[in-house]
Amino acid sequence: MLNDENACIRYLMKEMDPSEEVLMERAMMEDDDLLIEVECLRQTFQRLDNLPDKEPPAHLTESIISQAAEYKENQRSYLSLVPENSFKYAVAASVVIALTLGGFWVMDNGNATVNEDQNRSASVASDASQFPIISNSFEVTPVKAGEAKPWIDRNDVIRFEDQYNQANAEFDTILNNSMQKLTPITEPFTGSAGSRSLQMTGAGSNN
Amino acid sequence: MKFTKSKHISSKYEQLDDKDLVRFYRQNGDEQAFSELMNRHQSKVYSYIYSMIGSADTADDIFQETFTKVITKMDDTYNEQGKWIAWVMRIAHNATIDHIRKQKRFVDVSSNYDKDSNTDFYDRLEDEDLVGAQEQLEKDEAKSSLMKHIAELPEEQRQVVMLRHYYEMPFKEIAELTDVSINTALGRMRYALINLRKLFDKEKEESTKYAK
Repeated sequence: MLNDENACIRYLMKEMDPSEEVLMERAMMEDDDLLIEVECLRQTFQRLDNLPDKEPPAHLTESIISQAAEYKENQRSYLSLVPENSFKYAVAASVVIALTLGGFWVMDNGNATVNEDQNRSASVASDASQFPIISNSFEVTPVKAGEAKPWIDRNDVIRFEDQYNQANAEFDTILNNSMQKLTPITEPFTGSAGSRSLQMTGAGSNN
Repeated sequence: MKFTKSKHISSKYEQLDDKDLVRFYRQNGDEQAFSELMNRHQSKVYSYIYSMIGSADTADDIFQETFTKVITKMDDTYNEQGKWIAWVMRIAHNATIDHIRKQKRFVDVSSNYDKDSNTDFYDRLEDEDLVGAQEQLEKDEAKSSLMKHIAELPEEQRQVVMLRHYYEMPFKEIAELTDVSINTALGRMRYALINLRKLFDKEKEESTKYAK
């Protein structure tokens, strides 16, 4: 513990733990060289007490104190320009804006969902009367390769994609063909969900 | 020669510790609180800068620069958990080292001659109230010899000696301030004392020679 070369200076500068100090003092009693080294360092260190304290010029100190007062005064006058509760107002305004925007966003999404639901209902309404309405969530039956592959989005809207080549096909024809690919599921999967839904699939269609 | 203390500072401020004074100044812009802080520490801050630079005018500039930073940064960067003077000292130390690096010249106060003010170093030391000419002379000689030898120390060793002497800074803080390990800081102190001892011995030998 006391083998390091800075042990003497640590002892002199009171940078040792009390337990280390005891060990150091014991070591000094046993080792004269160590004692001499510590005493030499101590005497030299004590000479530093003669180092003069030099005062800065009075005008300099005065000028710094004036500067400090002036700085605080400027700071105060700046703050007085800003309304007292401006921070609180700013926070309140931010919260109101955030809530308003959030409200709009929620309403917007709600409307979109309602519209989509209405569209979907309208599009299947004519066919829906012919098919059993079941209480279930959609489940897409796996389809064979090459056939239409309908999928259901998050809003429970059934979708499928087909290729559309502008050069040699009419869009309406393709759309009609695609519509004909949908057939109702003969054995719908039944579940416990309380919503009304219509299960359709493109699997097994002739087109 | 403390600066016009009684004139400016109410005695109640003398009872307060640095932390409270700093808080008064920060919160209320209390000028007297700041004055009391200055009164307590200006001498040590200035002495440190001066002992590292060795020129009164430059020391004045660095002292001013240090306290300008203290005033403008106290609200933002001073953390009240730490000692205020340690924070000030860090600024003073950095400003001093920056200056020395910029100048890239070896600071030598041992020349006993200040180019800026055209005065001898000990002409600028504070006049102690007449203790007797002989005693004063001896004191001055001791100081002179001490300052001369300290100026001969390598800069790193001188820094550690001054930080320890003027601020009684723990070596952990000295190490942080000078960006070295505690062991290195302790080692520098040890070598500084060993070197000083050698210089004093050499001086003693020479004066004995002359006496003969």
